[in-house]
Amino acid sequence: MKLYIDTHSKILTIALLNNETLIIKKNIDCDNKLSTLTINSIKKTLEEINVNKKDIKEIIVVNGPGSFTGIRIGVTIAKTWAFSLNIKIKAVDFLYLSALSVDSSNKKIVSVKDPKGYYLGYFNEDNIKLEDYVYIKEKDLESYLNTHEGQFYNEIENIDFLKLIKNIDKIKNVTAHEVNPLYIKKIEVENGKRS
Amino acid sequence: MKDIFILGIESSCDETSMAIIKNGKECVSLTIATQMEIHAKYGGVVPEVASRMHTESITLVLEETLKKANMKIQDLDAIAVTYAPGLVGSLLIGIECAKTLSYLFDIPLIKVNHIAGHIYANNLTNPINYPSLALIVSGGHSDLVIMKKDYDFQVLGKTLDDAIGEAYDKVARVLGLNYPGGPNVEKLAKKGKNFYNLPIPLLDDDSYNFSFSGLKSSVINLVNNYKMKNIKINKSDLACSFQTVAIKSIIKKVELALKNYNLKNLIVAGGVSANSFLREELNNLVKKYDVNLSVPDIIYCTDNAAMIGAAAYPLFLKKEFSDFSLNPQSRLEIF
Repeated sequence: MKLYIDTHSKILTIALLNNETLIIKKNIDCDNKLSTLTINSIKKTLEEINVNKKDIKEIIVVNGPGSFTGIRIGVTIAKTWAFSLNIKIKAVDFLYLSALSVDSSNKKIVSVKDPKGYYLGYFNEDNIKLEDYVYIKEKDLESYLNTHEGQFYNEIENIDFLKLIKNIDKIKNVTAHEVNPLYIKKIEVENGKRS
Repeated sequence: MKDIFILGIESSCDETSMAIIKNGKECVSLTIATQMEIHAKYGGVVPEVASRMHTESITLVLEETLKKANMKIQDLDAIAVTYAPGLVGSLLIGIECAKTLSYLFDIPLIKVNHIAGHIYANNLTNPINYPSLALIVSGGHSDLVIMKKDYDFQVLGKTLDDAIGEAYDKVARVLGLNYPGGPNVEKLAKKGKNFYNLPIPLLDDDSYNFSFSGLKSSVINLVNNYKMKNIKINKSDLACSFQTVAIKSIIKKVELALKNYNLKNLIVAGGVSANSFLREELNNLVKKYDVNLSVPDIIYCTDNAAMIGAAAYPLFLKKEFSDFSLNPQSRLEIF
């Protein structure tokens, strides 16, 4: 059984999947309480469907982009889990998951919104990434869309787990130590300013 | 009684550290991944950078700590983690790791205050005898406290303004020294003499409080005045003068407390307890009053997880366990 953890926004998503189906999925509105709720919610979800935590053989964690603190919570739990029980782990980003979740005969522009702008991913119809992910300010969205042909998807809320299951082998397994957040956005000190 | 092994986790600032502590006093293994070089580039700790580094190194530090102790997580009796005070984003990484381990292995979770950690670091060197006078000197603290038993703190005095470590860091900046400022001021002071006349804080005050902002300001004013008059400053002498006055003002209050309360045990805690001039002066003082002095080994003076494992032990015995809703708190004080 695989445990899916997504903490990139204030909606915590926990899901359990096996090789064919989605067993359970929970969306929990955490509203800045991700830290107090994540482990408790995982525990409750597993208890509800009578699954022993030792039956989890793989972790799939969304490593971003989104709230820096949020993704660090999910990533830290996931990598600690995978390392300490020596199970498999995959990190997947939400832009790829968004692209997987929408069918289009055209190119796709998928997004994760934050208070000031958008993280954007540009994919072809077969969900192959065409450009490196970028972060742009809200006011620059229009010019981005003018220079990128394709369908724009404003933040997908629910990803298609069956598509994820179908494509899961395309996401490579890594070691727990290698799982790290995908920030995309540079922090101020890296731009030469003191934050 | 069965030996108790506690995993301590500390990530409140710029060190990711874990340790395994046996019976609250023996350090079986300790790992400290320091970020000092990275923050030195920016002239101080950048919170977002610190959080990122903790996330990168957390499982590596865990692996190393278990390997050095030749132990498995199953062998542990408790997971202890710093939850306050500190940088929230940094604390969070240690806390999430601790909660995950506690949940997966059904091992009790113990929340530890960082300052309690500094105090209990003493147990790793010399077991604390009660009653004890505790002097806490760090970047955020300058306190005098009486401890009659474990986790019993009677505050005699605090700093009225800056903490001693903070004053060191600010003086370091004025003298153009690199981060970390405090240890660099001390290094420079060793080469100088007490030449400049700086005001002694709270000279005629008979409380147990401290004050360092006036002293700090006089250093800044002195540097500015000399600059204006184009007189060259001997930085080593100024560092030495500052350090002499700052430390002597601490010694004065410690002496007052030892005398008035007739205490025979003195423990020192916090990053500034690594300062060798402070150690020297305290040694002289305790000889005079026949007091037992305990200062942690240098490695346990600065931020480390061994002290968290040590501080968790009395809480383990009292079964003071936390649940998974544990949250970091940036400013929560223990006294």
